[in-house]
Amino acid sequence: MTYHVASPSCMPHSDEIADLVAQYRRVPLRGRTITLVPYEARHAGEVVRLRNDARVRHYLHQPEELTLEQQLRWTASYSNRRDDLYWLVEHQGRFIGTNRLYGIGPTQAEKGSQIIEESVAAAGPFALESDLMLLHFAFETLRVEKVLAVIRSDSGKVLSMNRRFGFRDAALRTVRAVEFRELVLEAARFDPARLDALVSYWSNRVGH
Amino acid sequence: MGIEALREVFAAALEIAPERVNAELAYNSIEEWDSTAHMALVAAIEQRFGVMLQTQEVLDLSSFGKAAEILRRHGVAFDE
Repeated sequence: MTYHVASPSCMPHSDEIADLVAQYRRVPLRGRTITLVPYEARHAGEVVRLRNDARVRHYLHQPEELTLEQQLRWTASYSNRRDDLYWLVEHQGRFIGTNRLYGIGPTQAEKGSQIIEESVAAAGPFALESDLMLLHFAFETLRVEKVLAVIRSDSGKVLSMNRRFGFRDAALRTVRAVEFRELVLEAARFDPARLDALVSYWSNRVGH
Repeated sequence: MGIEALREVFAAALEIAPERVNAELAYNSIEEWDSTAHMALVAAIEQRFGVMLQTQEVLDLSSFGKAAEILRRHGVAFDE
């Protein structure tokens, strides 16, 4: 993968984090089967399409259909934030999903908003690689100590997938009467060799 | 090669106890069969049985029984 930057050993300050976020809002991250394309206003329609899938709306806890106007308002707010990176997942020239790191600080970040279209999810390692790239980026480029994830308790397969990365249950949280699990992955527990090898195996059959 | 070999592949890829792998095991029946486990399962089946599944077969591989059926089509004989 080609998205790592040379990194000093000390922990970055908030200003350095903001600089990195600004820098990586301009740089696509290329993986083996996908590219993470930094979100821009021109992608708003794609995000509306991806997020309005009924299955996605359930696990992202989005009761109403998202409108283009709402997404553009979110885009304006996103443009002013310096602790948030949102990507489109591109495979063979098509946007098949999204992924995001937010609440990025000197010691931690939260991942969320992952979508991979159901029609392609089982045909290649796109969800796996999307999350692996994000975690490599968080631990190796941003150099955070831990990554958090908040997932609906009834999203069993999403919880299972995150536990394969080493995430552990940390707490329960209720949002608008729905129970969520807070998971945490410390840098020391991130051991991606086996999953990286799996992506590599699959990259030989699905291409980029 | 026995059906037991396929059972071992499923248990290892899904990271579940071998006793949980039975004829009724299906993608929608257990949480552990997530998208990453599906990738691991296909890779393990291909390596263990020396086959290369087509994309449609990867999509169709939704249960233990379906996996056995797909492998039989690839000439794998199970001595059940």
